[in-house]
Amino acid sequence: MTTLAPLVVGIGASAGGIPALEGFFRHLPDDSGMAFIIVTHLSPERRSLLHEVVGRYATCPVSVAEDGAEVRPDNVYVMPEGMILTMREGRLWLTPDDPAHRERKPIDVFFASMAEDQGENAVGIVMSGGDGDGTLGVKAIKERGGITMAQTSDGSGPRNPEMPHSAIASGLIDFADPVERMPERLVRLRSDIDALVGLADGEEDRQRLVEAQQVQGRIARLLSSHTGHDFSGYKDKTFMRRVARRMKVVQLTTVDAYVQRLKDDPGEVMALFRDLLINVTNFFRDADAFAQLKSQVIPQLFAGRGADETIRLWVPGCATGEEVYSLGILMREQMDGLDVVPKVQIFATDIDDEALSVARAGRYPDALLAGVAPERVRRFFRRDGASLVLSKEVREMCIFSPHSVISDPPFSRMDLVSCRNLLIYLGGELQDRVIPTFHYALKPGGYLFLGTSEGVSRHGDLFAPLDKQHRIFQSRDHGGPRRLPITLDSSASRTRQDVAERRSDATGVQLRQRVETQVLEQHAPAHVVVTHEGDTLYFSSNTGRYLEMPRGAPNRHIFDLARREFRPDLRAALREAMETGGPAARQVLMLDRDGATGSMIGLTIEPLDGQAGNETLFLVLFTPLGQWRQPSVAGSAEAAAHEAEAALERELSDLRERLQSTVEEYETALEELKSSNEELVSVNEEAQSTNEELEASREEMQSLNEELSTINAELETSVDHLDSANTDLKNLYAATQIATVFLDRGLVIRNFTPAAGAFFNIREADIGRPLMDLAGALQYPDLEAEVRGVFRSGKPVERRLAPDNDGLHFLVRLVPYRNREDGIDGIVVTLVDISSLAQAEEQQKILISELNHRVKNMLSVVISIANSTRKTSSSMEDFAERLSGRLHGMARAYSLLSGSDWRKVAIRDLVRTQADTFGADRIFADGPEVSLTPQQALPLGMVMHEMATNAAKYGALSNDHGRVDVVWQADDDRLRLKWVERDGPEVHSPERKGFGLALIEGQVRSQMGGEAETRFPPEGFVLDLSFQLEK
Amino acid sequence: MSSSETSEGRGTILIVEDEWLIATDLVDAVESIGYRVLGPAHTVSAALELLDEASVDAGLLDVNLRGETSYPVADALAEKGLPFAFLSGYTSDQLRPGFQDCPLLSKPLNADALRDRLSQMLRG
Repeated sequence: MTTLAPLVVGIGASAGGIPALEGFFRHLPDDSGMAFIIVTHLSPERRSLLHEVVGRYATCPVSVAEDGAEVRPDNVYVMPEGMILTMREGRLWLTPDDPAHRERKPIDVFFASMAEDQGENAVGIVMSGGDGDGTLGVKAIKERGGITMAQTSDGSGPRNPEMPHSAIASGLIDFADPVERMPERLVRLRSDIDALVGLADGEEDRQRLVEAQQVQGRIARLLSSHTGHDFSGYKDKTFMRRVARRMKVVQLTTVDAYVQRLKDDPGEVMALFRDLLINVTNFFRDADAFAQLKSQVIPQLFAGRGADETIRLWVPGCATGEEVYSLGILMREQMDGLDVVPKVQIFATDIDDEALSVARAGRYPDALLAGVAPERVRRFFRRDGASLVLSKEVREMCIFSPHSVISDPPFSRMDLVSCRNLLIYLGGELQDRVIPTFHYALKPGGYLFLGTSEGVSRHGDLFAPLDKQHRIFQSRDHGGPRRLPITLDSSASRTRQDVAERRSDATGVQLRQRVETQVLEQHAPAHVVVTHEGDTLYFSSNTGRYLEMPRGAPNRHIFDLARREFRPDLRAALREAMETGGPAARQVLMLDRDGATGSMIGLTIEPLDGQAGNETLFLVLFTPLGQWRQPSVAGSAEAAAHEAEAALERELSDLRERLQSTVEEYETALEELKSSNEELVSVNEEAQSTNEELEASREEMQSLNEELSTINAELETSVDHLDSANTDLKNLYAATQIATVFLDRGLVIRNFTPAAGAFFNIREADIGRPLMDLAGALQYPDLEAEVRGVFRSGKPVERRLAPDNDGLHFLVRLVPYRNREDGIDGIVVTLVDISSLAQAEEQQKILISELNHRVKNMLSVVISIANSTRKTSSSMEDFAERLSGRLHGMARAYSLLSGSDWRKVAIRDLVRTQADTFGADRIFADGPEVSLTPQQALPLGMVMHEMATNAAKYGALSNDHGRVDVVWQADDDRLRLKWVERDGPEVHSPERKGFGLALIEGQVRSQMGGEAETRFPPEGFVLDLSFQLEK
Repeated sequence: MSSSETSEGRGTILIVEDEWLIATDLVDAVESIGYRVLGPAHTVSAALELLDEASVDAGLLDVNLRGETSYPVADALAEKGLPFAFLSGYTSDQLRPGFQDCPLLSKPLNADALRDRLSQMLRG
């Protein structure tokens, strides 16, 4: 034992297992400290989601078992599909399941390997499922001291109870609980274990040994007093292991308490007893006994048998079939060495149907074959999946059927009855019934093979011991007929309906009738009425001379009732009457006691006329004909002799006739019997083979059903997942608002999003129709051609559609729909509404052309400025200075505008740019906060520049103390601005207006739609301008 | 500077241009070639008024006039059977439909192109 987990719990489940697992893991505490391994029946073609399902309920990590994974406490491992799971050295091992030979009993396989690896630490749980898988597995676990559990019904019940029921019926289950209670049980088991460790595996110090031996002695005495079996000679370790196991089960932690329990509870004694005998049903368990059987008995069975004869064996209480197949192997081995091979039939019966179906399968995990010699395994077993299956030649000999050795009629003409370890479970009374049954079933000299602790001591008259030590007995031949033991439930023997009806002798009987009656009674010959079979229905009076009651049970048969003398003639005459349909007569001599005298009696049989119903009845009349006397010697000797001779010859011929008819009758009956028998034999054989076939197909159906149930459960889970994925998808479709249509190769609509529904005018009902049929598709006339193009090229296509009637712009993408093999299965059409993008593009176009326009306009202005400046400049230097000054002035106005994102510019800022250039202490701005549109700000900026330049050249700013005041005010959206220069050189009115002044006036009038007035008083230049503010 | 001075009476040109600086320059350029100038008008209404008062032989029309277009002036000239040319920073395909085949002088103006266009208009 190399694993760290104190308990390794194997769980086998199949159909209906998911709710059972849910119930189990929901009730499992977080820190159970145990490891769980789940084995189920899975289809190899389907990916199992079981670990996810279990993971939802389990608090500890759930994983799919991996090859070589160490089994750790507080972990759940789930067997993956298409694999066979086994356990070795505390690790899990996976081997791929051969698809041609699928392992049908994965639970047995895993349990058996777990039992071998984990021994007493193993716990096997069998949950809901539909066949007998797990039964052999728990057997292996229990044999190695592990604990076994099975699901019983409660409110929620196992959905498919066959699997747990089969395990429970085998008597191998320690705890049959509802799944919800199992975790608690496990936790208690685990906490008890520590206390028991020392008991079985304690150090071998002397004191303990002595103690253990004492304990064994005490328990063995208890066992012997209850069961009559002596276990004191058992190996103490094995014995104490079993005791420790029982203590775990009953949850006692000290030996003394357990001994007390044994004293108080006889049931516990039986349970311990059975545990001690647990392994005796294995293959060739008690190898010595089987060896003895092989050498002493089996050759005898075959002795003197021809090829057309059948050797019949019966194994009552065969359970899971190991004993049956062991015998079968021995028989087959014997047959191998024979020239003339008789047929062998092994009838195997049990009352437990589930155990029988396990036995029928003939399929065992390796662990249960530990006791079989390797050459036998090679010779008689075939590997199938991870199990070994009995070869056909052995399997074919065995016939399994449900049967109770106690209450059903037994089999008969058996050569060997092998009944090992069934009697120990039966009380004395039942044993007394069953052993005579075996005797009845056996041929004289047949053999009885019992278990090591069984015997027939009380029936020494029926069986003689052949090998006392190995419990082989031989049936004694009583000579007399064998009688079915009366203990069998005998059905009430059928009584023939009494047909005779008394005539009513009601009142008012007529005289004639009375006379007739009297005549009939007094004077008519004695008579009886019989059926064609000879059953008497009616007796007249006075038949006493001819009939007498035979010995034994009352009987109405005429041939039994008639006096011996009449019987042959009666038989012949009745036959004659039946054949001819007319009367038949005979004469019979009825001797008196002395033998010398007698009377001749006429015997007449005729059909009774006027019968209702179909059955022909016959009237038998006895008529006295006269006295007869033995011819006296005193008379004429010769005549007498003659007469006697004639009488003898007559009698002889009569007798011959009778003999002849009897022989014929007998032969006919024999023929009929023979043919009926043949028919019955063949019918029986047919029925047997049909039955076998039915069994085989039932087993197949069952395993198929099992798989189907598992697949179904998984499908349900998958369907759930699909449902939720589908819902997700639907929500996604609804949320994207991207029109998407899925088309298949034929351009048939497979799916679409609600947005696409609007574009193509498709409804839910249109799924499955070609997209091209729908009128809505007309908005995209080239669709079909382009889709086909995508199919050909496999490359996505992107296309902008012309704006539709509503002015909406769409971008269409045709993307190939790739399947898993990367082939193109269809097309995904997506339509994106790009109207806003298109608008933005339109806007951008306009903006660009506007920009173009403005730039050209601006260049025109610059050229005009240059032209005008050139005309008014005195020199190149003058021109350059003025031109660059003006352009800078424009540039400053532009930067103000761009600084305000071409929205509005405050007048104060326009003034200040000039002040920044010509001196802040010289130019003073005063007015309210007023902002101008670009259209007005630009010209005003240029005006300010001209003013400031002029002032710097000729006006107030040309000396070092002059000043400029810029004052403005706004009423009713009209702005008035005054530029006043003071303290400059004396001003003279100019002779002619320079370009500067013309520009100022031109800008104000034409660009700003305002008025400008310039005045030249001597103290300083004044500009008045006013204009309407643009909104 | 005077806008009404005449040198050689070869024709009178109506100038419609809202940008004072450009208008002034344009007037100089047209006059320097030898034409008389009517205007410049800065607005549509001013131009139409001038057309009513005096007779012209051709028109040079800036397309965009401070929020309005000079198409009404073009219509008025066309009605009188007088030639005209647009001045614009736009290209001819951006003009209003119906005027896209009209001669267009691209801004900024090239003096030679102006001269050729004017003589072509007045000759034809």
